[in-house]
Parts: sequence; C-alpha cells; structure tokens
Amino acid sequence: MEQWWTLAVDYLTSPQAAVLFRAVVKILLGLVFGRLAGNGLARLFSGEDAQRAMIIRRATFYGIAGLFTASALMELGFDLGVLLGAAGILTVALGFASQTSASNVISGLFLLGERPFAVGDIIRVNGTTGEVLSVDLLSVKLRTFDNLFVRIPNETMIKSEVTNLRRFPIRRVDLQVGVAYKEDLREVRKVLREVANRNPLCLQEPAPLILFQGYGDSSINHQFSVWAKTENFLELRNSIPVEIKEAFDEHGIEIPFPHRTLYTGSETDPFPVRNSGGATEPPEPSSAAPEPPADTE
Amino acid sequence: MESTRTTDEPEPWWGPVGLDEDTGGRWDIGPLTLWLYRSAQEWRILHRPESSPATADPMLNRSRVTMPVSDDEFTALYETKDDALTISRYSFRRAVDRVSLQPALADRPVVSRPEHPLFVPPDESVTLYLSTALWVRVELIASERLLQEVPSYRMSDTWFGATTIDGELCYATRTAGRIHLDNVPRRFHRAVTPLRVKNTAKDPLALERVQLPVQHLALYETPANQLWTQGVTMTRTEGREGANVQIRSGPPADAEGASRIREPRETTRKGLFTSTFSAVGTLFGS
Repeated sequence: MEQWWTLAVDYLTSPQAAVLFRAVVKILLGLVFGRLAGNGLARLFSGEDAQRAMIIRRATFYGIAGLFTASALMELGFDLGVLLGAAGILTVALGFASQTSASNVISGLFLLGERPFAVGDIIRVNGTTGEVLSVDLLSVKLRTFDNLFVRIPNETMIKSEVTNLRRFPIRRVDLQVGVAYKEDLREVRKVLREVANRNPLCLQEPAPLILFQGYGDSSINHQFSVWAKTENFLELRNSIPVEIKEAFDEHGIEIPFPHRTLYTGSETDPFPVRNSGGATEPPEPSSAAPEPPADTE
Repeated sequence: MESTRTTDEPEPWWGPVGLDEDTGGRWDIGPLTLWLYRSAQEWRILHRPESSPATADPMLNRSRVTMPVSDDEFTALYETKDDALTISRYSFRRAVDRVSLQPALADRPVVSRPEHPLFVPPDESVTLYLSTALWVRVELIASERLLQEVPSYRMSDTWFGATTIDGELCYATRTAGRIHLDNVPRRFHRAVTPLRVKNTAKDPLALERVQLPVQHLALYETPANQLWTQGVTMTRTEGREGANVQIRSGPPADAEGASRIREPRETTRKGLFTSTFSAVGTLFGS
C-alpha cells in the first residue's frame, strides 16, 4: 500500500503530470471560452435572426475550442504537422467509411450558405410541411402542424425541392369555381369580384384574378385567385369559399355536380320523359323501355 | 343616475364616460356600434359593425350617444349568437367609474384611390381632402392606459409596393378626391387629411392611388369638433421615380385653432420620408 502511495505521489509530482494538467485546463478553458464568446458574438451581430445567431455561435465555439485543443496537444508534445498529415490520411479513410455523414455535413454547409430558409420558417419538403426548428450539421429538424418531430438529412434537403411558405409577405389563394352552363359568365365574374371586395382580408391589390379554365364535363370552370397576407392565408382560404357559396346562392348561380346523360343509341326509342310535377296520372306502362332511371347521379 | 341622453343630430362621441354601477351606454360611431357596461369591479366592452362587412357602408354618418341603455338590450346582446359581436371583460381590483373614448388614426398606411383618375398638369399643384376611418380607443382616464381599440370601420387590406416581394401592407379606401373644403362632408368617425400634390416634372401626373402615412400623423380637433390630421405634401420631381413625402408640422391651415389631441403612432425622422421612395414606383402609376 505504501508502495502504491509513493508511486502515485511520484507520478503526480512529475513534470509530465503538470503538463497533462495544463493541457486539460487548456481544453476546458477553450470549451468555456468558446461557449461564452459564441454567445456574446451571436448576441452582438445577429439581431433578431435566429439562424445567423446559431451559425455564429457554432463557428466561434468550434474555432476557439479547436485552437485551444491544438495548443493543448502541442503542450503534450504532439507535433501538429505530423498530426495534420495523419489527419489527411484519416480523412480519406473516414470519407470512404462515412460517406453519408460527410455528404450531409457538406450539404449542411451549403444550406447554411445559401439560406433558402431560416429557423422559424414554414417549409415543405417531399410532402412534409412544418416549421424549421434548427439547421444542424447533419440534418434539418422540422415540427409538423400535427406536432410531430421530423428530421430530414441535409443531403435530402439539397437534392429535393424545398418550398418556403413564409419567405414572401403575401400569398395567393387559388380556388377552382365551376358554374352551370346556363349561367351568365359576366354576372358570375361580377359576383366573384364583389365577394373579394367585401372580405377585408382579401387584398385589393394585387387585384383578384378570374381565369377561364375551360368548358368542363358539367360546368364552366374558372380559377378564382385572391391575395392575402401570408399570416392570413388559411383564414382567407377558409372564409372565401363560404362567401362564394353564399353569394352564388343569393344570386341563383348554380354550382353543378357531374351530370351524366344516358343515350340509348339511334336504334332504340328515346327514353320516355314524364313530367311528374303535380302529376296525378299513373305512368303509362311501356314495354320497350322500363321506368327510366334518373339521368343524373 | 344621469338622465337619458339621445339626440338625432350627430354629436361628438369622444370624451370621458362616467357610468354608475350596473348601467351601460351605447355609442353609434359611423358603421360601428359600441356598448360599455359597468358592474361592481368590471367594465364590459361590446362592439359590432352596424351590418355585416358585406353590406357595411363606410360612409354611414352616425355619431350618437345613448346613455343609459336598458338592461334588456344588454340581456339580448349577451344571448345573441351573432358572430360579429365581440364581448370583452376588464376587471379591476378597485372600482373604476370613468373611462374615456378617444379617436385615433389607423395603425397602417392607407392607400386611397380616387374614384376617377385625377391628373395634375406640369408645374401645377392641387390640394385634395382625403378622409380616413378612425379607431375608437377605450382608455382609463387616470393612467391613460388603453383597454381596447376598435376600428370604426374595418377597411380592406391591400398591398402597396412595386412587386409582390417588396412592399407594405396597407388599408385600402376609395376617395371622391374632393378639392374644395366646402364639399368635404362632416363625419365624426373619419378624419380629414389635406394632401397637397405638386408636380414639378414636365409631364402630367396621373393620380391613381396615394399612400397616406396616417400612422405618422397627429390628430387635431377644431373648436367645431371636426377632426383633422397634419397636412401632407407630395412633390414629384423631374427624373425621379415617385415622390417626396413631407408631413407639415402643426395643424392644417384649414383647421384654424385646432388643438392636438393625439400624437402619431409612430415617430418619423424629420417628417420627411425616404422610405416611401422605393415603393413609390406604383405610388402614382398603375
């Protein structure tokens, strides 16, 4: 026991122990200093931008911590030149081994540089829509609207189409409106314009757009596009259809559902048509054609 | 208890309001109807646009104070299923017997479009009288703390800018573009801004829309209870897109003896806009 004790004291009082202690202190200092400097710089230069704050914080932290670690290694007697050379070879080996991670890291750097979105934006990637929580080294984290956490690798972000729903201050709501063939299209346009005019959330300018889309199977189709402030987009998208329906009902404009006309061919007799409104007479039995089915469904 | 006051002639609706416990009053301000009700330690603020936004008339000229209002009216209001009616309650530790109703200008710029395009020939200037809807502020008298702010008319949103990317969200209104003061109707729920448009360029200026920076304007009240804002001058110079926008200090010349009753919502640098420069591409254009 005595022996162990002297051995321990010898080690602890040897110059190597002092060096080791200094190196550890340097690394710890680097971590603490890096964190503090990162936070300070982020607060100083980023303002309200959460993403820039994150980038500054990370870059400062890694830079300072790296410098202190290198200094600590030199203290321990490592030759950094050799270490860097070894790191080069190691990088190649690691690169092959961890291709995916490396590609994600590089993609992450590009994402940070290109800034297609920022923390807090609402984006849509491959059918997933959510709020950006963070842009990290390997992945982007989203919170979807049903409150699920989605992690998307940076490589996927770089390769796929990303839609930022909050980049611009105003957005357009596109609605497909079909009216019956019997309607006066001028009247329909007038009613639609009035609906847009009445809704305070609907921007007066850019002016609402009514685009003819085509003569459909059972209706004449128009695209009705109105603009809203991006924050009011959902509210307008939900309120405008209600108001269109109300206005159409008020003006007696029909929104048709699909019609199907049955044609029995030129060889057979046409379907007998009977006016049943207030009719008291029983239908005439017909041997050629049974009771006609309703011609709409 | 105060005696019942009901007048048919429009009278100013702003000023201090004193209500006894468990009584209420009704204010008809343009297209807005506002009720205040005081109970032991609580004030209730109820408001509703006069008709649905679909058919509301922004120019409806009403300014009527009815005090007190029967309890039956409030009972009916509480039971109504009308979505347009908003009821808010404010409770206090100590009883507050007086609040104040104050007019205020809109919180965003107002884009005014003349009903017919107006042209200002070169080296000419014109003064237009534009009116904008006022907001009704319910304030505590002692501390001037705001309880609630209600627009007398919810103007439609609009976008003012050269593109759909750059610009500013504003309120939209239409103006008859009156150029004579005598023709300007007196409405207690709207404030009048004299806008002077100078054209020093060599081609005529088509005034199709004007952005009025009302959130930077102060509100004045004349002895005859008319509400005015500071005057605004827009100068269009040769070789320059858009116009210089300058806010004149003091009450407008048309409102003599007017006193300042509300400061601007946002302060500006020297009353001169450089920020409007970028957006003015469409200020007078289409």
